[in-house]
Amino acid sequence: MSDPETDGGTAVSEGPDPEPFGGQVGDLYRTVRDHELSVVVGSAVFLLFFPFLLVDGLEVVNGLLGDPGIGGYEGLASLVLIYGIIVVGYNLLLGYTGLLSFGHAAFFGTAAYVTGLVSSTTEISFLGLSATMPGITSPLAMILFGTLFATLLAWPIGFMSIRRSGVYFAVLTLTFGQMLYFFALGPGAGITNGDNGFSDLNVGELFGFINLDGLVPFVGKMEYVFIAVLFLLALTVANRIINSPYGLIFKALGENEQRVEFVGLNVFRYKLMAFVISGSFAGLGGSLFAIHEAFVHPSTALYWIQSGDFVIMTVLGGTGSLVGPVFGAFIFEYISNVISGTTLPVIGQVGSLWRLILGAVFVAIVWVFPRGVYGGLVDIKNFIAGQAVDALRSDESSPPAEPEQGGDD
Amino acid sequence: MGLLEMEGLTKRFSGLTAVDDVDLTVERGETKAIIGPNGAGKSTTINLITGLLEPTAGHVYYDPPDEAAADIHELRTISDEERSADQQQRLDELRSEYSITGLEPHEVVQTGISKSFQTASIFPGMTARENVQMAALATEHGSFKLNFLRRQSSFDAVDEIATEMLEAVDLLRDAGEEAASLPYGDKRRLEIAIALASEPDLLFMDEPTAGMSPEETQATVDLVERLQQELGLTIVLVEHDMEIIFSIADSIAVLNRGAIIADGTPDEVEGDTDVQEAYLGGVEL
Amino acid sequence: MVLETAIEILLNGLQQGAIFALLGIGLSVILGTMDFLNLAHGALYLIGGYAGMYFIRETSLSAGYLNSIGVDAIGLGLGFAAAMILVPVFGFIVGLLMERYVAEPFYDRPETDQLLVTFGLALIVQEVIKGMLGGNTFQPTAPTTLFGINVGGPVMLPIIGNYPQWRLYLVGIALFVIGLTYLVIEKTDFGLVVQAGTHDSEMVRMLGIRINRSYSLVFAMGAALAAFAGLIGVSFQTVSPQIGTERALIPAFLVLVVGGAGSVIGAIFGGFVLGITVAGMTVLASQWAQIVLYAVAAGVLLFRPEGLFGSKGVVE
Repeated sequence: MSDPETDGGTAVSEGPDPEPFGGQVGDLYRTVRDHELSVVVGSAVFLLFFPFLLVDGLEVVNGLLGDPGIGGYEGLASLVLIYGIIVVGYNLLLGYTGLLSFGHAAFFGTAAYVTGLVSSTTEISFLGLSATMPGITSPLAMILFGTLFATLLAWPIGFMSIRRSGVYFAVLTLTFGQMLYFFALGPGAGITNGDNGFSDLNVGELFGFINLDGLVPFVGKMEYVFIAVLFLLALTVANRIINSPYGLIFKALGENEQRVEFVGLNVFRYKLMAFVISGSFAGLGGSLFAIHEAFVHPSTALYWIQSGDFVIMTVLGGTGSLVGPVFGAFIFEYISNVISGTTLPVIGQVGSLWRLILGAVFVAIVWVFPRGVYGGLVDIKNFIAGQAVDALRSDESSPPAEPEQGGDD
Repeated sequence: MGLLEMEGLTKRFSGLTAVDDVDLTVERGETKAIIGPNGAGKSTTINLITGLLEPTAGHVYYDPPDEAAADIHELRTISDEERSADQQQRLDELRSEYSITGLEPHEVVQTGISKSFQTASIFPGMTARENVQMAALATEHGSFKLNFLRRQSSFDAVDEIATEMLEAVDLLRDAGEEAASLPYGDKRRLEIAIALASEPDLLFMDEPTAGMSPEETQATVDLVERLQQELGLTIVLVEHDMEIIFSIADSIAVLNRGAIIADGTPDEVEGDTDVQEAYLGGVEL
Repeated sequence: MVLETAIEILLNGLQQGAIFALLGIGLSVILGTMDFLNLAHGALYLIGGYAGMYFIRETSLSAGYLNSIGVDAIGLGLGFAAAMILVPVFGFIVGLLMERYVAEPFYDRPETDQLLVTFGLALIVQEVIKGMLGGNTFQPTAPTTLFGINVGGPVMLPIIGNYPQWRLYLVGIALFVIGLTYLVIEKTDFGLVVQAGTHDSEMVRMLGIRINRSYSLVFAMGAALAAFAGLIGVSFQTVSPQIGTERALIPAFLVLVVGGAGSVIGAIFGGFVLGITVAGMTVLASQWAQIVLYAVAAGVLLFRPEGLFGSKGVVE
């Protein structure tokens, strides 16, 4: 556990995990495991099965439990991956660098709007000026614009917010996010269509011939495959970043910011990079969200509750690893979309209580289990594996024969 | 000529003058000690030099060549009003060239000054090796680089520096250990390794033996002496332990209430009545 | 007419500002004294608001758990005067509990953890209220008589004409409480400890003053003020589970930013500055009202981080 008494900075109690096993076998396992290619391939395989597990797999469990309604549905898989992209990037900022932002919806929402706007042909207006949107319907181009915009937005917001630390940093990010929210709702309605929401998205064919509504055998909609590929890309990039000098520096910033400054590194710039990179990831997620939902509204895209949800997902899954937050996204979306429609024992109809449930779990994790759900699963895995290894070791060696020291009784 | 020159260094905090018009020279290759009673302004002075605080007045010069240093000395003795326009211009030129006043701490470190902290200021959740690699990174590629997609494993030079420094402080065998799990003495040595990995010419050591047992203290002193010889460091030491100071310091500067009251060889300082008064019998010399 | 608008803005601003000030004082003092970042402060306002409704009148419920088990209406119907005592007391007790069970375990934990756990707590409180009483919006509960004085209905004011009388009394009551708080902090021994703690809690501890008890009292006082602010809010604004964050927490932090941490005067000043800004913008360009509010806060935070009256270097 990292020492909470750090020399400056705003470290969370749990930074990234140290390695559990030693020894040659452990090394080989780790070499294979950590090798980028195997991570990618392994994830790709899993992603192919994900919708199946979510829908058909859970359907089986659902049946066994007497049909309380816990089965997944196809759109859920896409949502999980979309939020997964966002929180993986967000964790670079929170779990590694130790900066808590309550304003990342700004990048999510802006990208969503830009993605939608770029694909439409409406005329937007603001302060007397007006322009016609280009109607670019290529999904890749739409996403490119959205993510680019989010990244560019993250620069000034990050630049200003990072000037302060701790709660003031959080408050600054919140204010910027809220400013955008109220702008989209009010004065900017000429661009965003305000409270009515923006629905003039036109998603064209990928590469000019692949229809995102088409079906891929076994896996599901083409759109899901598209999202899954981008998720994989995002995961790979994040993994690269963590294994680059940046990973080391971000981690160090979260543990002892002052020391990083004093080894000669420009702390401000690195924090800004962490912020911008996480903003990019949020932007990518926002772009995909717009395509998936085909509708963008300020209250889901830019409101601070969305920012808060990112925090919850990340912490829920566990801030100590690359993929932990993805688990959090899964749990969050599952509870929010599926469990909320079920009737559980004791509680009864869950309905809108799901936020309460999540809130309680969230507090519990912050309080006593900062490694999060994924961290917990890893611990269980290590424990079991450790027991297994011990069992194997004790089988091989026979206990040394010890001559009994007789007493003089 | 001096590696580090302080000219009129002053720091005022609304009402309190913590550092008062300090002029000090640190010669190349020497070990200089800064001593003084608690609250004398030692830490503040160091913070001014390393960029953590901004001075209210005064300048700090680093590594000026002999001629420039001589010019600075000369021009300084002429007061602001009496200086001619040419002289002022020359002084300004010299200042912009060699002054490190007002730089950010990371910039100061990049010019060649490093600091080891009073408490072991390390990265507890990272391995010892990673701790030193952090500093080696900065030495290798400067204060910032857009290399977030390059694989860490391809940074051989960084690894080399890290290994070298760990070896220098005798921590190589513990390189893979999590820093938080190291015993306190090892943490202090790791601290020094981190400071050294910046490959400084000038090293500030803020009370390096604070809270150490006699054996640890002796080991640290030996280490410092060895490092100075092997790496040719200039060391500025803030210490309270007089024995250490008088055994390894080449010169001693005494601060009291923010001002220098003595500055010279150990013998000179020992016999100085002002110094004795400042300490008022609290210290065995 | 310009004068009419100006006075309207001033009056509305005073009401809003009073609430902001009450919230800001509590937050500021808690942050200043214990260095504890309480994102659940808005939840205390929320609790105060709903508790106020409960004490003042009977409220009919149409949603939520209570409603689903047959409870159509709850409330004691004791009137506003009783609520003015009961709500702060209730808030005080909640504050004590919160300090003991939530804040204290986190004093030595990293800042981020404090933010996260109080954020989670705020979420839980909001959701519990929503779950129990339903998520719908309740109308304001303004009293018509108070201590025998007729406070309801409109009153004729020069220049602007008819104005709800209660809202004027409200400002008076709030100012009274604010003034009282100020006196307590400035003039009493307890207040001195709070001030000293704000400047140097280490020192206060060393002087042997039982800082932990003071922490509890400070927290409870902040909570009582927040709850009272909730009561005031309930009397002229709508009530729903979101008001904790939207109308209380965020403004409270903005007040903190503008006024500076640890300063009661700063919180008062900041509260009224922000209150009048919001009122002004709502009247003049309501679309931009919120945006300007946030921009002001961001501006202060960036250019004068210690706030206008801040004492401690809490900011870097």
